[in-house]
Parts: sequence; structure tokens; C-alpha cells
Amino acid sequence: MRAGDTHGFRPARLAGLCLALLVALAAAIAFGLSVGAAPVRPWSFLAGSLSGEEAQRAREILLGLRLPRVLLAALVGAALSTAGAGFQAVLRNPLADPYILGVSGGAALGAILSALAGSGEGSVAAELLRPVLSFGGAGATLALLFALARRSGGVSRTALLLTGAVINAFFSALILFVITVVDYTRFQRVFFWLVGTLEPVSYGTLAATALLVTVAVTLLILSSGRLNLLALGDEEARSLGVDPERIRTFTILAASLATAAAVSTSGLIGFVGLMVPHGVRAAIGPDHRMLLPTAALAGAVFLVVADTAARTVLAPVEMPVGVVTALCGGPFFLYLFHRSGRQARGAGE
Amino acid sequence: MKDPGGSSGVFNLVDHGTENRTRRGPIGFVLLLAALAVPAFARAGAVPSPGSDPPPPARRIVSLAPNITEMLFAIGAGSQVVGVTNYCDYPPEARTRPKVGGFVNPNPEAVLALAPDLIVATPNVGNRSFVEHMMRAGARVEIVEARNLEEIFPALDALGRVSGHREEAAAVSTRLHEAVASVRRRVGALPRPAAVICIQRDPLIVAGPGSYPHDLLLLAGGRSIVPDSAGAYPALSMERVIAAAPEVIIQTRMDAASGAGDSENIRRWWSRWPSLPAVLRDRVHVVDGDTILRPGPRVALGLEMLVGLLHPETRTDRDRRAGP
Repeated sequence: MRAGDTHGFRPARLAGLCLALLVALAAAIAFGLSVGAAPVRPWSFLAGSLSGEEAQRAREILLGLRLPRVLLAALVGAALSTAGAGFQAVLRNPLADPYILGVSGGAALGAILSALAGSGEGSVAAELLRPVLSFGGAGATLALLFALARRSGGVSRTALLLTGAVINAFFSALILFVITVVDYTRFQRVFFWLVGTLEPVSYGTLAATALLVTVAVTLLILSSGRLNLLALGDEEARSLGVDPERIRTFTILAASLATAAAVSTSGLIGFVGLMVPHGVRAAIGPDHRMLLPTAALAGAVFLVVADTAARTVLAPVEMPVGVVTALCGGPFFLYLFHRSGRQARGAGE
Repeated sequence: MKDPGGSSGVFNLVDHGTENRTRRGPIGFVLLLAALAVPAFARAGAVPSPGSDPPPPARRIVSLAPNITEMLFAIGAGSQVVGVTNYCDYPPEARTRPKVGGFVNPNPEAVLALAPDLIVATPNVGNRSFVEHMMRAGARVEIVEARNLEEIFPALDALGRVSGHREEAAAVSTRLHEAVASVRRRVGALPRPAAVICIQRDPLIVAGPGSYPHDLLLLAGGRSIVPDSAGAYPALSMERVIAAAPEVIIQTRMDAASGAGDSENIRRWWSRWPSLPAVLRDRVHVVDGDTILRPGPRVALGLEMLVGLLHPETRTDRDRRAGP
């Protein structure tokens, strides 16, 4: 903990940062709404200069396609980023991320099982079942991860990452098994899902996702003060009146909920929970009271920009946003892993 | 497939745009098992060298693609077919043959257990190593490329040669040429409605330039909304579809068993975009994909179906009975 003066928690500083990020988010959303495969611009729609048929078309493109997708990107980005920051705090491992830990894989398996159970595409039951099973999958993965870690007595950083990677591979195999056994034509989306794709979802789905993400992110932000104490070590935290087990469980549940909300709508978008909290931490320091709210907003900005790139770079052909985040995130992970390894060695000498 | 079979004259209506042929949709390819091909692979195929005697006609043929199976039966080689993929369901008799696995993942043991003297494969994303394995094992493998309309004719020719049914194959080719020419005559002077063939939703995958469904769409008198640069099966942006305002949308149902419920879902999905002329005028059609997805001998059926959907005014009573 280098919570020095320049990196400390000051409500005014947090408010300023959040305001700046909100402006950035508004700009990113406005930009996302302004570009796309069709030459439709929001201002000409708002100015009312379009003829009846053109206006209808512009309305569908702007309100039916771009807006829900941009908003979903913001929600998913905030959820994954905050979840990543939460996992990193609880596991005291800077390389933790829902994707790398295998939590996303568990959530994806849950979501795919819900597709198996519910034949009614778009029905209310199916819409509800998906996040619930997704959350179950994420929770089960973490329970497994912790049980294994506890059994082996303490969690080394690499062991945890390896376990996560193995769990991820195992769940991917289970998902492919399900697709092989069941008629694959029912699971056309799965392939896109495994890479992570944002779709122009219905506003109903968007509202449900918004609710889940807001709850999860709020819970995480509320626990941020206690996460700071956790960083001092279990003994220290206990002496300050915090039960480390409880705060850990609470944070993990909230982070799993955020992950499940994100994965059940958009699949396995990787590395957002790794890159964004790290970027924010480098800029403003490790205090979780500062980190969690700013990481949420920065994650939203990041994924809106990444998805705008995903749908415009090759327009009119679209690519999954997971391709963009993985292309940025893979090298970033390697850099972090390398650096943290060097630091650990340096500290040991 | 060195010999294009002198068939190019028929395809004046089909503008492939040569450079598009080599570009594939970057994303959709994994899903489009039924239509994909790797061009470089095909050229590595077992073409008998000109000097040597041609091998005798094969008696025990294993077909590794539904459209190849259809072609083999169409040229009268059905009785020589001893093994097919799980997806080979046409003609009905093909279903009685032993199955050797999927289209991208045939089972080598199942294939070899049938003691074939010829394996016919079409290049796809998954079967390359399998085919190479079979060749190393000494099996005779014929690689037949049939990704679009143009390639059906040399494919029929090749299959006729290896199965000893050259004349029947030539007759089938002639019949297909006639069907194509007849459709061209019928729709040549008609206005061409903007149309799109969708293979999949969420995300949207459409038939693009260089693909078989796209060939048929153009021949049947439709105007494509897919840009030339997009590749054979692009994940097309929905924005682009709305902006292009297609008058007819044809959505294939990959799996016939899912039936009417699926059609209802598909229609509901499209009805979210009421500005689409196709939605407005109730011209979103859900069809069984096989006749327009498989580049095979059912060209005439696929074309007739598309003509009926694109130009309903031309339909006769006979067409109506045969249509979807």
C-alpha cells in the first residue's frame, strides 16, 4: 500500500474524476451513435430534415440498433471492469479478471444450459432463466476455485491463474460438448458468444441488465472501504473490526453477479476487467474507494469505444468486440505478468 | 478442377467480381459449414496425370458432403455410394447409406471400415487434415470444389469421370444449363427487387458475392444489397440492411425439423424493423435452406423457389404447387 497523500481518498477529487469520466462516457456514447455502417447521423434525425421514410429508417438505425448496443456496451464494460477490480482486491492478485479466473466460462456455460432448457426464444422465462443460470455458473466456478485454493493451503498467484485457465478450458469443452450432442443449428450464436459479441438487444433486456449491473456495482462500491482494510492483511482487518471472510464472500458474490449480467447478454468478452482497473490504478492509486467508481466509468467508456471500433472498422462487416478487447488485452496481460514477476523477484532479493 | 467445362457463357447475369472470390467473410465462416471452401486446398487434389491410364470407375464411394451425395445420385452413381455424412438427406435413398460422421468431422475408422475405393471430399474448414490423413493412408481421394453455381458443372464432370457415369453427368449438366437459361429468359426483362438471403440471425450472416445462394439470387432476378467487398458469407451490419431497404428478405432455416415455430420466431425478429419494405409488405420468407444452400443438382428447384418469391407475378399454378 502506497496510499500516500497524492493518491489518497478525497471526496472532491473523486467527484471531479467521476465528472470527467461521465463527460468522456457521454462523448463516447455520442460518437458511437454518430458512426456506423449506414450513413445515418443523429443530428440530421433530430433536426427533422429527413423525409418520412428516411426518418423511419434513421429512427430504427439510431434507436433500434445503435443506442441499445452502445448502452449495453457501457453496462457490460462497467460490470466487467468493476468485477475485475473486486476480484483483484479479494484475491490480492493483480492478474485476476473474470475471464482469466474462469468465472466468465462458468457464467457462459450456465447461459448455454438455459438455452437448452428454454425453447421459447425471447420469452420472458428464457430472459430470466439466462442470467440466473449464468450467475449459478459463475458462483459455482468461484466456489470450486476457492475450495481448491483452500485445500492446498493458501493461494499462490500462479496457481490461481493456472486453476482459472484450467477451469476455463474445462467449461469451454463442456460448452462444445453440449453443442455437439444437441443439434448445433440451435446454437449458432454460441460461436460468437465464445468470443464475446454485443448485440442490439431489446430495451427489456437492456433494462434487466442495467438493474443487475447497477446493483452489483453499487454493492462493490459500498464495500470498497472494507476492501482497503482487507489489503492490509487478515489480522490487521480483524483488529479493525472487519470480518475478512465475510467481506470476501460479499465481494465475490457481487463481482459474480456483475460478471453474470455481462456474460449472459454478451458472451465471453475478455480482458476488460484486467486492463481498465490497472489503467485506473496507475493513474489514481490503489485506494478502492477511488478505484471502484472510476473503474466502473472507465470500463464503460472503454467498451463503448472498443465496440464502436468492432462495428465500424470493417463496415459493413462486423466483428465481435471480444476480438478487439483480446487484441488489446493479450499483450497487456503479458506485460503485466512479466512486470509483476520481475517486481516479485526484485522484492525477494 | 482445371477444366471449367465451357459453362461460363451461361453466367452473364452472375457478376462474381473476380477479386471477391478469394475473400471470405471473416467471422461467419465457422458456422457456414455447408458452404465453405479453402481454395488452396482444392488445388492439391488428386488429379490423375495426363499420361497415365485413367483409373477404373469407383465401385464403393464414400461421399463427405451433402451436395456431392446429391450429385452422385443425380448422375446415376447412387448405387455405388456406400457411405455418406450425417447431413446427407437427399435424395431420400441417401439416408439409407451408412453414416461416416459430420461434414467437418468425418470419422476415419467409419470411412475405412466401408472399404471405399474412392472418397469424394469438398474442401471445408474442418476436414483438411482428415483428407490428408486418408491420402497418406493410401486411399483414393477426389477433391471436388463446388462452392457456387459455376463450379457445379466441372464438379459434375469430375464425378461422372470417377464414377463411370460421364454421359449421365453431361446430361444433368445440360439440364441444369437449360433450367438456368429458362429462368434467365423469364426474369431477364423484369424489374429487379432489392433482396437479401440471410443464413443466420444474431448476429446476421448473409449470402454474399461468390456464394451459391448469392448466385441464385442474382439469376432469379434479384438485386443484391450486399456490397461487393463483403465476401461470400459476411456478418453484415444490420444498419446496412436497413439502409439498403430490401424489398424481399429470404431467411433459410438450416434445420427443417424446427418447423413452423421457428418461422414464427424469424418473422417476429424481422418485424422489429418496420421500415424495411420487406417487412412492410409481408415479404419476409422463411424457407428450407437446402435447395439454395447446397451447390448441387437441385439448381432448378432452388431457382424456381427464388423466382416465385422475388417475382410472384410470374408464378403459374404448377410453380405454386412446387413452391415453398
